[in-house]
Amino acid sequence: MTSAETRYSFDLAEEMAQQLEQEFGPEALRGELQKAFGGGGASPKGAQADSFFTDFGRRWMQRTIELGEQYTDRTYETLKDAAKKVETLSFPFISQRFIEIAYLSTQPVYSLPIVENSGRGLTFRMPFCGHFKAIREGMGEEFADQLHCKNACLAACQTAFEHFGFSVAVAMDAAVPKDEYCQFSIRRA
Amino acid sequence: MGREALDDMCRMCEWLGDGDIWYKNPRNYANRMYKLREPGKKATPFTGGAEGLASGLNRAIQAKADGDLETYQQIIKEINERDATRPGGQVLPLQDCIDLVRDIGTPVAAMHCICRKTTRAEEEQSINEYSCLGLGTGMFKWERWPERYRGGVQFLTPEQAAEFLEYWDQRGMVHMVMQEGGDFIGGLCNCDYPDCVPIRQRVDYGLNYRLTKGENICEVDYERCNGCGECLGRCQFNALKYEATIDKPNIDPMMCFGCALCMTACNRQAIRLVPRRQYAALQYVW
Repeated sequence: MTSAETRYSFDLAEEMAQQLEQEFGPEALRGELQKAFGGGGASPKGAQADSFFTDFGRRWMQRTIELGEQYTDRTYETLKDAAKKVETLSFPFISQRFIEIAYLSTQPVYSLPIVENSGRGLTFRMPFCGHFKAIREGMGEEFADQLHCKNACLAACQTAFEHFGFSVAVAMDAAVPKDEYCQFSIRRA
Repeated sequence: MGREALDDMCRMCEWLGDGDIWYKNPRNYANRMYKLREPGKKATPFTGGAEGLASGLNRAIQAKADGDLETYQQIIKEINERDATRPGGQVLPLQDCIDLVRDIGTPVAAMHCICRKTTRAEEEQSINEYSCLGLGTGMFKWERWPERYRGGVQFLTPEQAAEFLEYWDQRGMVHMVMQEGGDFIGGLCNCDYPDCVPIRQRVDYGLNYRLTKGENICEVDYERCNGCGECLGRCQFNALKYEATIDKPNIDPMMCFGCALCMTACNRQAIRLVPRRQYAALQYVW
């Protein structure tokens, strides 16, 4: 361990990750689906499902931002300090931090696969989605494969950027089950 | 893109370019900010410095010093075989560097040169002396490896980074993109022989995969050249010489690394960059 590591923490706070997992992880989503739609039997209408997931995604990111600010770390402090001096660094890196926190806390991955992060925007992938698995188990394959859940990710990304004053367009470039992962791209609107 | 079309690309473009020049691909700068660690695992410690950069070469040098040329050549061969499966660095011209820092290679931070520290025990202490650029989100964690980033780093705007590159170009430094740990391009070096470890490894020891030649070569436009000789001291690779029979410089295309330092020194725009693959004899010379 380096001397800096004894003074600072560069990693995410475990307590925060656990809190987010508890509130927005696959089990929490399964519970919310059950509560909203009963599960199993008749599938909710498309618009109803889309609206449910949009709301879930927005709340997920809002809570991530709240906890992420509360549980800061040295990486974030350095980023904020750098962004004060070099304004262009805010985009997309500050929002990227919260997107990483949201997914690392709730998904079975050790790191979020980033495809691009530059002044042009942010693109990332989500393989092995725990939320998708929970939807399949709770609501059936047919409903899950309609991918209403994409609205949660789209809304979460939108919220992560809008919160910091960036107007963005979020697109889904690839999706399970056809592809092996979902991929989202965020560009300045 | 078919295999045939890829044949004249450098190996990094084949692996990482998605059909284009690898260092122009934003994917090669992409990096996460966080990683959850498996229980009991810690962050990778800094393993650079003299030993890390030499990696195996010390034994070869010792063998050569002992007069055991057979062992020396064997070790060099083994290192080359191992390196062939790993990405390394590549020389690039100033304009490509500026395009990178203005667009896809963000964030950019000025930092001290590990090569100069290793080869000359010389420590660049402040922004006025720093000659390297660190790229990517890893720079937000620089304090994790204080021994690597002694003196700290300074984040730069794209315009400041372009000025930084122009300054070192004027001072005759070769620009190189460097792969970090095989995952992403984490450094844009500005260095020279004999300080630069990758240049020395390539030029002095034939470790060709440590530093790949640039995408282009330089050519003299003899109509424009007036033989002033401003370019002559700029080449780090012995590619440029004065041709007494014509009183003008000559560039050996087989030796040229395409750094374009001769080009940026020429006030008459009498040196131009030409794609390496334009010449059949050069398209596999990396």
